[in-house]
Amino acid sequence: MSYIKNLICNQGDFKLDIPFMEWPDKGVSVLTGPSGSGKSTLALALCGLKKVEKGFQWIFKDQDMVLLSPPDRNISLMFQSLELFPHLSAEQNILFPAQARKIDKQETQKRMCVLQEHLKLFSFLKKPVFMLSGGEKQRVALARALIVKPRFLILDEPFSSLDGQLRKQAATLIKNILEWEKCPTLLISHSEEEIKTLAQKIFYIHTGKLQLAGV
Amino acid sequence: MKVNRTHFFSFFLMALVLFPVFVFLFKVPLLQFPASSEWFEVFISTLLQAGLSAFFSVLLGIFGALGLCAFSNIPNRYRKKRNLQRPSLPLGENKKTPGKSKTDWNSIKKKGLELFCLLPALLPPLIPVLAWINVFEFFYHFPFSFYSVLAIHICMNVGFTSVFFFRLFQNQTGSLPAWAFLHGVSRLYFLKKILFFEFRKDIILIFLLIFSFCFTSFSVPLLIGGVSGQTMEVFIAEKLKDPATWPEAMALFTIETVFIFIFFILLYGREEKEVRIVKQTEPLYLLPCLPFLILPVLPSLLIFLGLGDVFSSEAVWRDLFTIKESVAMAVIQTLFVGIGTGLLVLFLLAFVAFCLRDLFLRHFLVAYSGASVAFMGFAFLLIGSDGPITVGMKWSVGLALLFLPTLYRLMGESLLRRLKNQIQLADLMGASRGLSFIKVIWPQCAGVFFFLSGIAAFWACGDFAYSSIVAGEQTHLALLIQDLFSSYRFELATVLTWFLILSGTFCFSLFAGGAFVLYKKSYL
Amino acid sequence: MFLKRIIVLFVIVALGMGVLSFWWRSVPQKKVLRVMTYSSFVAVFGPGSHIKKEFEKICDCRVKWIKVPDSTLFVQRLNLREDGFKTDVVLGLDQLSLKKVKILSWKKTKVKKDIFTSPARAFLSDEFIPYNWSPMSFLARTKKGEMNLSDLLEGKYKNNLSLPAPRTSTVGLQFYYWVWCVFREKTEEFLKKIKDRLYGLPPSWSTSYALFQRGHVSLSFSYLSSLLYHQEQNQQDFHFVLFKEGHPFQVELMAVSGFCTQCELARSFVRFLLTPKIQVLLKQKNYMLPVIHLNQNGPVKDMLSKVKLIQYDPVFLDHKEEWLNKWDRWMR
Repeated sequence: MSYIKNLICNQGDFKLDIPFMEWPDKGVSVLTGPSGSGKSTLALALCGLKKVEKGFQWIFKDQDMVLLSPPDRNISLMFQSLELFPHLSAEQNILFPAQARKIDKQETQKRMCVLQEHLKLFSFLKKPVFMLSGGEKQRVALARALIVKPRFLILDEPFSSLDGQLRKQAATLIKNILEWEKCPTLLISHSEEEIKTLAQKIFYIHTGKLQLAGV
Repeated sequence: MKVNRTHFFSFFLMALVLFPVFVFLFKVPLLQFPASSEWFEVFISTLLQAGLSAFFSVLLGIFGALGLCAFSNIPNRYRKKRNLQRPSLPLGENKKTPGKSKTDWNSIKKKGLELFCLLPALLPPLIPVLAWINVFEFFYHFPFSFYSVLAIHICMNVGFTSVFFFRLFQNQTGSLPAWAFLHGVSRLYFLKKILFFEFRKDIILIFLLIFSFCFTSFSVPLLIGGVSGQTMEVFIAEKLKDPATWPEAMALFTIETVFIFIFFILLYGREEKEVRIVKQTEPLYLLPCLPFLILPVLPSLLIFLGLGDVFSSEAVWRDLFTIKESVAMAVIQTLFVGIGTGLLVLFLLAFVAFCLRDLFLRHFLVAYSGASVAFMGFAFLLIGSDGPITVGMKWSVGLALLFLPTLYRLMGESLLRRLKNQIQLADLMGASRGLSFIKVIWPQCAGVFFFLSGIAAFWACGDFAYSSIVAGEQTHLALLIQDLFSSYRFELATVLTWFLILSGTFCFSLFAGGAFVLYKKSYL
Repeated sequence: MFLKRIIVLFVIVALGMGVLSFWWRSVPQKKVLRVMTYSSFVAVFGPGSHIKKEFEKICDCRVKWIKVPDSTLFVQRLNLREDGFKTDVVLGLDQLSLKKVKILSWKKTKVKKDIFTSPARAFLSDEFIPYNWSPMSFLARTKKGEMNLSDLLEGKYKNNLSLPAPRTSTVGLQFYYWVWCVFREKTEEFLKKIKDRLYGLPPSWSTSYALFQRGHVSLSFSYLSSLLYHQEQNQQDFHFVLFKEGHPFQVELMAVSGFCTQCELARSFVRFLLTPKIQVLLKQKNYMLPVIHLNQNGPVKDMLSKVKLIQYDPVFLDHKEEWLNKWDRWMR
């Protein structure tokens, strides 16, 4: 099990205050709650991108993550807005983290092949990102998050830009790939559908406070 | 706070921008506040001038933008009809299709019109001022006063604000006008309660930009201000004339800088709102605003009118022929100064982008009003020799430092803000600063930076205020024009203005061309 | 890696520039005479380039101009650097600015006193030497009879006079001084009345005169010698207006600066400017009248004989700053 303790993060009038939260080391945990409840802030805090009050503790598989710098934590984050680099092609986008971490090219290529297979990226790999459809962008972003075999994956409302059928497909796709990748994941989501399909543990937060945790 | 390399770099950049102040402080180590009655009046009148200029520029700009919207919607009507028969694309589906040759002309026309409207803001102030005086004189005597400064500032900025709001309305109103139309909202109500309210933050932002520009404007009030149109900058330059009042100049400069600084920190220091880009689906047909198009277009038209009437006289051509060598030299020097300044600005902007994680530096650049022209000139006179190479360098470096804060405020800051998430992500992925600069920041900023450098190059070609201080024995077109004015050759000076426009356009297009090439390369 | 590259690039550029400047210095160079002057003196149509050429022929030296935007800025510029930019000669002072200029150190120059004409001779001192001058008044496009200053207040001159601001232009200051010498305690009253006769107050003489040349005003305050330019251009319809009260005049002076490094050369340059050849050149190119006895012909000379000059009262200059502030208040 991994857990966080004493997470306090002030942001203007808003205060995120989570004394304790615990989730399993495997599978998908879902964080849900209304807009503005602090879900994304929590994600950023876990990545080390938000300033938090002293006393914050995060033990992940017996390791104190707070001591590590954000890149050393090896977390992959997928923003709600995806934040693909718009000037690069899909492939360049996916390869960027590997390049950043100076991972051996051959190894990356192997990994790329696997991801292509699972995420069905073949048809648009060379296209510039702005020419892709919403669903395609989604898959590119996911591939980019997975290329370096992250220790922990955070998906911040990954389906919000999709509708109906596409959304269902995407949820199934993510479920499959996460099962296959065996990467512990925190999914931030509104949608009941996704929660039903994916969740192993559910957290509900409201106005910066953890209200409910269930399995 | 941990001090890392980025801090070192941004400290270096800040020191560079502030360097004229330091040099002068070294020379005049004391501040002495002049009698308040003396400067307070000038301060208030500057404040009033800048406030009114900004207010009217923004107000007219909003109407001008409606005019531009109306104009850009004219040829679209037929296309709209065709589109209706096509099955609507699912949301999130690709809207941009390659090979859009049919709409290309449209967008070129739109871009052309935008550039035309931006002209008064892009040209060095000397040119529009001369041209407008020419035109204005034709009808009535040109007043050298507060009001003329006001009028010229508004004319200079209304095109810019119009284009700014035009883009904003096009990208962000969405179906608001249609909704308002359905609900029978009156036009006035729509403007007042919906359009103004929806975009109030952007309106404030642009107001601040224009305000700071007009507050620190130097050339315009110097040329046409007369007694009542004096601004703080001119007053400071005046105080700098006499060594006995240098401490007063320093004090006034401090007052001015602190004022602008506080002003910006108070009003601009907030987080930018999340940009919600909704491509406009319906034209703003609620408002038949085509006549408003005149607002942004007229000032530019008048520039051409005002400079066009000088080619009639034969004596002018004779005179021009006798000084052809000087003109040729001046053109070469102009190109050197222009391109040099452009390159330096490009370098400095890249430098800021490299340090973009340092919010302090960025806030500093946004809030710092820039050293007074006279200060910058003095600082560079105080250091270095006056050999031709050194002078050339001082010339470009000084101009680049003068223009940097304004240009950065204009487009740089909003650009870098937009990259915030991407940079966070790149950092999280473990990308080094160098890698994320080369791979993520630079490709996305280069286009805009090249464009801004192009503007700097153009301004540098037409600067005479700073140039006249540091130029030494050398001269460039703007200085030559000024010299001709003071040796009775008024018409010849106006002809040379065209040379200046051509040289400036050349420099600008070098950089803008760079921007275009980069754009093509990065997207195709 | 990226940073290293940038630093290496910096070092290379810096080294390159160092080598270049070393090379520049090692080239043997002639003596350099540094002359500080206002920019229109050395502009394309100005006398500067001719004087430089002529003097370099005889001196085996190089004349280097230190340009200053206008003549009100000499004191500032000389004070700016400890070495006063190694200025040898300052060219373009005028008699109204002498008081402030005298604070700086100057070297004496001997010239023959008897070559000077009046009124320039009166301004000759050990340090300051006049080199050209001109009476001043309004210029008109139509011939006018003798006028009084108060005639300018007539209704037909509404927005019809051009005049540069006294704070930024010596020409404007001359007008102010003139009015003050004539009206004394009634100056305020007169200025307030003339305010709406003026077509704004442009900052420089050049703008003010351009308004006149382009026909926007019928009278412009300028030099008698401006007629020299119009003569040269065959423009016959410019006339100097005579005033009963007498005329102000401007005497331009030069001096060898205390910062000089080539002081002897500087003195010979000063004397060189008083030779008939250069005095004629100054008349033709600077459009000002010579200060030595020359055979002058033409309408300017005729007019000169009719011009009565005013007596300056130095009290005004002792409180110049105060008067300028008053001007700002009255004319705002």
